[in-house]
Amino acid sequence: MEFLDMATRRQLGFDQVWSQITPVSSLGKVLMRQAHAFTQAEWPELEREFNRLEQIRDQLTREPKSADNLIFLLSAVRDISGSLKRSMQGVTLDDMEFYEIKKLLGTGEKVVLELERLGWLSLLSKPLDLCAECRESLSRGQGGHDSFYVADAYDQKLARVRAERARLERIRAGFRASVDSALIQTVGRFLSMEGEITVGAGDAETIALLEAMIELHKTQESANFVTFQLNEDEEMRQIRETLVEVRVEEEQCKEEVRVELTALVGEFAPRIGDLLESLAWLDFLLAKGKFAAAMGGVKPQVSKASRICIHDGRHLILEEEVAQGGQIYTPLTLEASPGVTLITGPNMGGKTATLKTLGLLTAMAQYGLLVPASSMEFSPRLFIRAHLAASEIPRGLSAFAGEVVFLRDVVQQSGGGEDGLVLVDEIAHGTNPVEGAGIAQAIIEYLRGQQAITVITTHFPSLVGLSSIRHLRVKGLDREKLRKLEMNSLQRCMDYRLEVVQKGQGEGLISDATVVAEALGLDPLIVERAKELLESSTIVEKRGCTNA
Amino acid sequence: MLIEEVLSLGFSSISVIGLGKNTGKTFSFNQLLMEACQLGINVAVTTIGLDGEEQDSLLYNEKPRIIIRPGQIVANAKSLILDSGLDYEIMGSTGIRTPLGEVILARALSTGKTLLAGPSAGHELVLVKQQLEKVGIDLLIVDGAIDRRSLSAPMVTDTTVLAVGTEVSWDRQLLLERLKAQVAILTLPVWKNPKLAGEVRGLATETDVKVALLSAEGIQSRVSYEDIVHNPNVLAELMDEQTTTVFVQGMLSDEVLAKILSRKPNMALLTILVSDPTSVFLGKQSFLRLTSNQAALKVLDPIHLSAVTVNPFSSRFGLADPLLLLRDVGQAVDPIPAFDLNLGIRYRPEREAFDGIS
Repeated sequence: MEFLDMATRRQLGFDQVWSQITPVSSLGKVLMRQAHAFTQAEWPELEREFNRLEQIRDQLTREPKSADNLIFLLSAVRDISGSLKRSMQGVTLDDMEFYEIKKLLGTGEKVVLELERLGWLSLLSKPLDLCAECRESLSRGQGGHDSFYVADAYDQKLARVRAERARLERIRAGFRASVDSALIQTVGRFLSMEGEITVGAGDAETIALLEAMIELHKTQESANFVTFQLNEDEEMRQIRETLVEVRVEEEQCKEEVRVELTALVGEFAPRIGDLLESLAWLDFLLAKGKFAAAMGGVKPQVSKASRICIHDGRHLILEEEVAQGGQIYTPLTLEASPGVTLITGPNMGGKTATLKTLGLLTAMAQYGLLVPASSMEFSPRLFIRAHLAASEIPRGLSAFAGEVVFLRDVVQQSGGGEDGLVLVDEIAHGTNPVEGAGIAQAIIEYLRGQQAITVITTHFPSLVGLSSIRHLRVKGLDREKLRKLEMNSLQRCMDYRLEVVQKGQGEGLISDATVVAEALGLDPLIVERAKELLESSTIVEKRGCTNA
Repeated sequence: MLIEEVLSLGFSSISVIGLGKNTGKTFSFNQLLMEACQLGINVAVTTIGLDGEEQDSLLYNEKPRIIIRPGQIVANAKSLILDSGLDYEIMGSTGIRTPLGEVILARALSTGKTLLAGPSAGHELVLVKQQLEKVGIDLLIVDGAIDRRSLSAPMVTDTTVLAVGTEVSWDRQLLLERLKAQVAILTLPVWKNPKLAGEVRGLATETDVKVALLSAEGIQSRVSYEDIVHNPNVLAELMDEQTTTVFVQGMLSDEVLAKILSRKPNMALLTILVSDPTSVFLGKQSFLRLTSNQAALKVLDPIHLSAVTVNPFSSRFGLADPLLLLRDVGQAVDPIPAFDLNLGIRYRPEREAFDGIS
């Protein structure tokens, strides 16, 4: 069963939060894309992951830039798995591939030094295998530099051929340099790249000087200019021809070295692959730790009892939106256990935000992230499903039909006795209230006996009196405060905290719909008429208690 | 040597661009490389785009090659390095992809010819330059591009050499007009206003702002492109006696310039400011309008032009008189020096004479 489906991820804002984790290497990014939630059976590993992240968070909270060097090193890690694969297949690698492998092994060593400096070696489940013998082989005769070339030290014949090639090149360069030197002394210029020198046809003096040089001959003469070219004597011609042969031989020697080095890399390839994976894993872990430090995350406690308990939980996206609106964000404190928890309260009282926060923090915890809260305890879920009132409707379905499809699926999933988390916003509100309330009650009666933790928000009065459910209520509007302030100060007068409503202690609903409508500027005449109708209505329960 | 002049000015990077195809850009590039070699300095080379190669493949000529010598560093596409036949040392990778493979840094250990293919965008060239600086070089020479592409190479390098040839136009008058227009853009004066320059640069983050009006005190108003489309007179209406400068973000087109210059008559002298010369896309008429409106066009980030080189060869018409061409070009671009690197001469307009260069 899928832990978190696409619709739930989107509705909870999980994808937005997940995207704030930023590994720096391409392989770290791949790991992040492939990441999945820890299962219930993996909780010991989940605990270890939390501990690792706590260690990183603590360090980065104390010294935010202390891991910058490590991050820089990891950013240079490239996916060389293709080269490793080819080496195992016996396909000769090119010099660039040897360079990348050598560089990776060097990076591994630097990473170990950085981890040691930060006291983070314990983050690794086992020491990094730096394949020292392979690195040594790729560094032979190269003076300890990070660069790579097929050095003389690999092969005596190569050394001999290369020395010969260099000797011949020096002779040719020397010959040319001597001509250049003579030219500079004679006419103040030197030969072009092609070994030519061109002068204006009117410059008779220079032409005469060049004509007198035995190292040059005239190749072109026009009304405007005269071109001379470097003479190639028999010795130079022979050297040029020999150079062609020597270069071919040198390349053959180098290719033989490459074949040997490829075989060596092929032997080490599985171990180098492991190192590559470890560095990618470290990159992803560090990205999660950095994220935890940035948002002040805490380690969730994994509970064996089936429950979710959050203190001062913050939905990062909503918190940011509230801050941008200049308002004060109210964190969520809530405890939920198997069966149904019903949340009621006024419009704009934060009921949907409660579901989002609960779902998001549970998903984050199960994806091995620290959570934005003062504390959290949870037992890993098998699935999380959410249907929020403002959510998108599947194509071709009405709002109500979309919800029914969702409820059908969660009833099936919860019916198997599995530990899930089901979040339903304003259950069955998309059809007529009488039938809607009936469906909602039937769903609750079914889900209250299941292992899944189900949290439902509603405005249906008939649901709050149901037995064997937990009822939480948003404290709601402070009407006195609202009267003193401007009517548009609705959010400042809302107490978003939840309170537990005990049976027989006023389970009635507080919707404050007319107050909210008035505060939002609905025509006063309409609001007054609505109040009149409410006064005379028999279908609405009286207020159960006063606002906080 | 031209390269000595460049180094004496404290520059450590130079780009070579051509006014058009077959203007001798590659020849000038190679001459600079030869000069650097004569001086024995640590030099690195790269290119931006594949400008020259495209044209040369059209003409069925051999693609331009450069000669690399031991110790020189190239930032080049991987396949061109590996297939060059050079003995080399791989110094680093850049992550920049080209159709011929990733751009890599390699130090030559032997002498040989290679084709060059480098990054295709200015920001990539910046990255390559930074990596080369870490390796430690005295001079970076960039084979640049001009036609159909941005002037990104001159923006990234300290100074630029412009190659011009009769291939652009056999008609000398037309050639010189085009050259003067291009040089005028390349040498647009820098806006010297340290007090407000930071504020103007900050507009780069406000991507919806197309035009900002400035007084001596600071930004008066910001106008989006949509505002200009919906109300063609918006700029004229917003400009007042206090407006001294109009900053145009991004491309300065004939259309935008016309709207700026439609301001109320008898207003103070106006400066029109753009980020850099690559933003200017104005026709001849627009430049005339600037002059007649007593408006000055300035840039935040200027390009430095060291020299103009000439190539008298035209693939269609043959060879023009090299001395006459150098004289005409030298007079047109004065005070920027003009060279014929093939003949090894420089035109001296003050004496109407040619000096040998060495």
